[in-house]
Amino acid sequence: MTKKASRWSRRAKIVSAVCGCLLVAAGAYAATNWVVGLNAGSSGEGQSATIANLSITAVASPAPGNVLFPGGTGDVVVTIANTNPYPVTITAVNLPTSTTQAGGFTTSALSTAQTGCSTTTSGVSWNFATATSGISHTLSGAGVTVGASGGANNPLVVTLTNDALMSSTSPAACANTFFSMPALTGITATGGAATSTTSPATSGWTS
Amino acid sequence: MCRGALLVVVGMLTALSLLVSSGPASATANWTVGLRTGGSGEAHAQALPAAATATSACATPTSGKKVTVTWSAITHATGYAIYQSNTTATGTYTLQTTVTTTTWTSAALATGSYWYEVVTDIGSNWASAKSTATAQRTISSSACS
Repeated sequence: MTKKASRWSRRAKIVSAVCGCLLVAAGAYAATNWVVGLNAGSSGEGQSATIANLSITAVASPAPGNVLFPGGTGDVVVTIANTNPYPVTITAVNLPTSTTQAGGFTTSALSTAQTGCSTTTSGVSWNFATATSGISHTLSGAGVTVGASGGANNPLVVTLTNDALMSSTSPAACANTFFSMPALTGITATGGAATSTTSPATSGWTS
Repeated sequence: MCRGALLVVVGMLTALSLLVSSGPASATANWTVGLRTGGSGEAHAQALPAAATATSACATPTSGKKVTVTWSAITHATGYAIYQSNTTATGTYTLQTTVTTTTWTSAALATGSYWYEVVTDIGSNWASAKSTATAQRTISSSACS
C-alpha cells in the first residue's frame, strides 16, 4: 500500500467510527427523551416536567355501609385514569373551599338533578376543606399509585374514607341522594417506576 | 469498504453500551403529573330514618296515672319527638316533647284514653315517618291501665 493510501485508510477508519457513534447517539436520543405535548393545565418546574394529566371522575357510588347523613361523614369513590406510559403516584389532593357544595342527583349515574338538593342547598362538601381554596391534604400511607397506560390497575378505583361531610342542616330533599363532589383543584403526583395499587383501593385524608 | 462498515458497527456498539449503562428508566423518576380540570368523586346519602317501633306502658305505680313510652334506637338519630292523641288512634296528635333517649314518661294524665307516636329526627330537617300508634292506655280516676 502507498503512503497516501495508508493515510486515507486510517482517516476513513476514524471517520467511520465517529459516524457510527453519532448514528447510535441520535437514535438513542429519540428513544429515551420522549417528546410529548402538554394537556391543558399541565405545568413544568425545575428539573421536573409534567406529561399527561390524570383524570379523576365520579363513576361509582360508595358501599352502603358508610353513607352520608346530616352532621356526619361518608365515603367518596373516585376513579383515576392515567394515560402516561409509567405509573403515577398520588400523595395529596387540593380541595376547594368548605363552602363549595356538591350537587345532588337521583341516581348513581349523576344525570338527573335531585330537586331541592343542589350545589347551593345540599350542605355536602369535602371533609376538612377550609375557607381557602387549594389547600393540600396528604393521603394516608404512601398514597395511591395508578398503573401505567394499558397496564393493570388503570383506571384505579379508590374509596376515600369519610372524606365527604354533610351539614346538620342539609334539607330532607337530600335524603337517599347521590352527589357529584366539588371538583378537586389539584393533586400532588409523581410519575416513575412504582408498583401500582391494587384496584379497588381505600385511601383518604384525615386532616 | 468492508473495514469501514465494520468500524461503523463497532462505533455503534460502543455508543450503545454507554447508553445502556446510564439507564433510561431513571429519566421518568421526577416527573410531576397534574390533574385534568373537573376531577371529582361520588358520594351517597342515606334515606330518611326509619320509624321507630314504640310501645307504651303504665308507669309504676299505676296510681300515678302516668304512661311510659319506649322505642327502638335509630342509627344516627339526633332526637326523638313524642306525639300524643287523647281522642282516637287516628285522631290529632300533638307534640309532647323531644328527647335524645329512647324512653319518655308523661306527667300525670287526666281520665281518658291515650295513644302515642314517635318520630325520629336526624339533624335539623330530616324526620322519619311516625311510628305505628302504640296500644291505647286508659287513665281512670285512680290508676292507669
